[in-house]
Amino acid sequence: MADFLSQFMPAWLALIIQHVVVGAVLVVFALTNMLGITWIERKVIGRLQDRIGANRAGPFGLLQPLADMVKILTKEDITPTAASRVIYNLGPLLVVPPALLVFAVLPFGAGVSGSDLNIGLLYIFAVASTSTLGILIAGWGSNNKYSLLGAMRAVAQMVSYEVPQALSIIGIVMLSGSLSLQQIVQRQSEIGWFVLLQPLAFVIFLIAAMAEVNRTPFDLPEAESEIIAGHHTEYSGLKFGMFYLAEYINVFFISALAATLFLGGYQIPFVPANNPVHTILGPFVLIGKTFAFVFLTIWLRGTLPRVRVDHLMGFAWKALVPLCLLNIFMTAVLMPLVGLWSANLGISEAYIAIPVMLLANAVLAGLVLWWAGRSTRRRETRLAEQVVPAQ
Amino acid sequence: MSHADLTFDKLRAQFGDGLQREDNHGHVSILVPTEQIVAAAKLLLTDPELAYTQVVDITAVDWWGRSPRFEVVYQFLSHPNHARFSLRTYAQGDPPTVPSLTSVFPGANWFERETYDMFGVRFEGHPDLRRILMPHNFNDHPLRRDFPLGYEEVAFSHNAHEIHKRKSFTPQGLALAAEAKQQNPDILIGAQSVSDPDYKARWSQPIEPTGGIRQHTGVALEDVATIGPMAEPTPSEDLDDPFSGTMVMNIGPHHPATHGVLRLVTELNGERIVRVMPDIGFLHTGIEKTMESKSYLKALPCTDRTGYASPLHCNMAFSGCIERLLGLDAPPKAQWARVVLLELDRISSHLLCIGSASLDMGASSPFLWAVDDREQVYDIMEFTSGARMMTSFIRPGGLAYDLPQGFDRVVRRYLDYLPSRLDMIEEVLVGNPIFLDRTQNVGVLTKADVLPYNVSGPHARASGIDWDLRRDMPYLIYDQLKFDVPVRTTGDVYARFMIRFAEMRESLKIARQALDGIPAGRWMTADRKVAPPPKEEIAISMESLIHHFKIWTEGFRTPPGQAYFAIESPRGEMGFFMTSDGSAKPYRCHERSGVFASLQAMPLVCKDGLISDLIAIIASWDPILGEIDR
Repeated sequence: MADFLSQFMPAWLALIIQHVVVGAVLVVFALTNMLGITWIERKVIGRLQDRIGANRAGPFGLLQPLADMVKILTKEDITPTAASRVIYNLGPLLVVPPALLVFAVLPFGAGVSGSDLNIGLLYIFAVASTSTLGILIAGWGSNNKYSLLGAMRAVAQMVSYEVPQALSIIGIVMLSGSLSLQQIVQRQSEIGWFVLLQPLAFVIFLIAAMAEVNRTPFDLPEAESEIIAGHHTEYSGLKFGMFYLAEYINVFFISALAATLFLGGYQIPFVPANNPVHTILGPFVLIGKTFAFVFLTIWLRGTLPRVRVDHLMGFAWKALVPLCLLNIFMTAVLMPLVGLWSANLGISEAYIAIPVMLLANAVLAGLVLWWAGRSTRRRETRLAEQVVPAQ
Repeated sequence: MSHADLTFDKLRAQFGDGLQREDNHGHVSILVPTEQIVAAAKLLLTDPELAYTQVVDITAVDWWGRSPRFEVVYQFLSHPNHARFSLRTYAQGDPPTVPSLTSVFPGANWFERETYDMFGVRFEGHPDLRRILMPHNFNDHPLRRDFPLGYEEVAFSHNAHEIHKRKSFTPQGLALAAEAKQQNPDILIGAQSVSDPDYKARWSQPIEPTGGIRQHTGVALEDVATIGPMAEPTPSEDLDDPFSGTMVMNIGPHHPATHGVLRLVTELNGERIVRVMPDIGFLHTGIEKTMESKSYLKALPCTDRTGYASPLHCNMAFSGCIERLLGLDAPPKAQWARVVLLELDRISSHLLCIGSASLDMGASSPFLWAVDDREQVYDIMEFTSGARMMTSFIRPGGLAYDLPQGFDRVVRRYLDYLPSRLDMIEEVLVGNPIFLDRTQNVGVLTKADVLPYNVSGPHARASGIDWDLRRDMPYLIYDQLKFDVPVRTTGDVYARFMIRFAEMRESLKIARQALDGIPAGRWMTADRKVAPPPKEEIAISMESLIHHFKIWTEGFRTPPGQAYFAIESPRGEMGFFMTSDGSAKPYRCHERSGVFASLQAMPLVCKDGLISDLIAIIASWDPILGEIDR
């Protein structure tokens, strides 16, 4: 676009206009999808819970997100008298930008992304982690004990789960040899979707991502039955809306990221990567895959209870991080071998990599499940001993 | 010789022949001199033959105008002997004082506090004699007979001056009361107090507003004070730890997980709980006072409003107490139908408990499933009585109306439908390791603490106490039914949940048997002193019309005496204690709710847990604040 515009104006102006337009498109895209997610969540949760879900505003309640938005915008804006005014107002402002900024590197098609950074993944983790600051500030500035507890939980949780989240994709980086999301998607067309090569990392990534965006069962920072609403207890109106917005945009982005990293992004299965149909359908395919993950998060929310805070931390450090390290080790050992065998046998890398990695992952998963099952069985026998036969 | 006779003999051997015994249809009570009450209670507890393991209820009766004025009544329950016994004593002196039983029965704590709060009877030696239901800056004792009833506008104001101006004890309020007295000279309590010059003088002094709400919420932990021996501050082991500073947090009364308006003053060390102090009374509506001002039939709907999660059990306990006073038995059809309804009511209450508990733990779907199933119990109640929640269907002498046609079919359909739903809810919760992690070994109530701290019902059975009033001291026709009493030994949150699941399944069994056994016949006693004449008769008989009119306006009278009647409610022993002076209104009507008694044991099990554990414990405790605060 900049090339086209530079025929009429100086190049620097064209570049600025291009960035503004692309940015605006991405922001509108994120916001629209966020509205969609809130609607889908209400409907899906409703079905899971034997009820209808939103059905008043518009056909099938489709206008419900708009009605919610109007409601949030027209609510009274309250600043608690005891709150630290500047910090209190800064909190929500710091939460939304990171949620939007990460969209810049998301690939919607071959060469179609806001910016194809060669450190795309690093950028995402760096930017996303700054939202923790916003939450901490909000919890502190509210001068409310519940908010403070929520903020502390949020910081502990997000810092802890960034570790397994980042470690889980090291394998992918090793497989694709790049941090650029475009490269990662391209590589998946050659070697197969990474969900087949790194199933364990996929599961760990999903769990950690769920914790990163504070979704059930990891919604401790805003556990309404424990600490009211956590860091946004004292916020109302638009400021609350900002947290709400950031949360759902995060859900959407993390789903899109999972789709990009593990499910081949914009690629259509069994269609060669250079097929021009990707240019047209790519974004829609990506959105489709994304919403599959969104549905998964909603499904989990309708099913699982909340984890306790000490179990949450223990799970990250005692289970996920060691597993990630095992996975990295496994990938590092096996992938050179795969390259060697495919060169020797003259078969495409994908045909060897997928069975080998699946087998290795299955063995590892089997070991983990055996170990977990043993501890569960122990607990069950302990429980069975406790039950007294009724008279 | 019945166990009560044995008890009487033993007491007489110890304390002399002067003891007076009063029998009231199986309810035996003994008047003990004030100074001997602790010794008598100790004898009841420690004598191996007597073994009265729990003091299930303590309350007082205000014989206004007599001296001594306050009669304190204790109900004892012997688990090994399946027997009840009651002691009475008079509070002597000014202020009226009785020795406290807390040294013998720690669970007497909250009952004595309530009696102090409501009657001003002081309990000598009580570790923590504070108000429990009324606000701490309240000045009088509302259940005293000379405390005015009513004439009080609902004040939609936070302005303490405005509110006090309208109170019945201020000059404006007294004027209103005097006006009401002119219109209806029979108004007893408030009007008498108006004519009492001392009383008037006392109340004509307006109370200095002390800052009201602001002061109340600004209290520090030490103002709220400790709850006696059970919540003594733990000596902090990490005094040298610079991070041992604790934070006091008010959980409730406005909190999503406190199931109403329970306030827990919580001392936290990070997320870890150092101390918990329940503060109740935010839903106190003086319902006992209200009941004492109404005829028996009109007091009945009040009971629905106390235990709103299991209204029929409240109806039943109330009606059963009146039936005991009258020496009357409901006809067989009513008894069998009552059992069906009570078990449905128990299912609905347990579903609410389990559902809301799962919501508190973050799982929202089981909550909605449970509420959906519970709605269908309400549908049955609506079909049966016309009301969904506040049915007032079980009445003294029987049922309000005959069972509707098709009752059998509707209930049977529900009984067939529920088991698979219970399995589904149980599978989603119990099949989930997160849920198990959050409930197992959390909030363990040890077996040794159960009886001393007055815990009963599912809570006690979860801790290994094999006791169910339906089986062990049967009322209605429970002795003719076959059912199991599920018991678990761990006493943790998980056990309290699983007990409820198992109880619901037993309730289905009981309801089915009772449904099979409902005989034909009258649904209301034939005793015309209690039951109104049938509608057909009213149309043709003048006397019946008058009789009908008298029953509904004056109500029926009960012979003078005292009775205590308890049933197994979903939250433990629910009992009513009633004193009749021979009139159509209960002279004293006290509701003993299981969860009020057992809530005092909750701080014991919360210690050293996390906030999340506290929430799970509250949920497993199933507090219904209407029952607690009354």
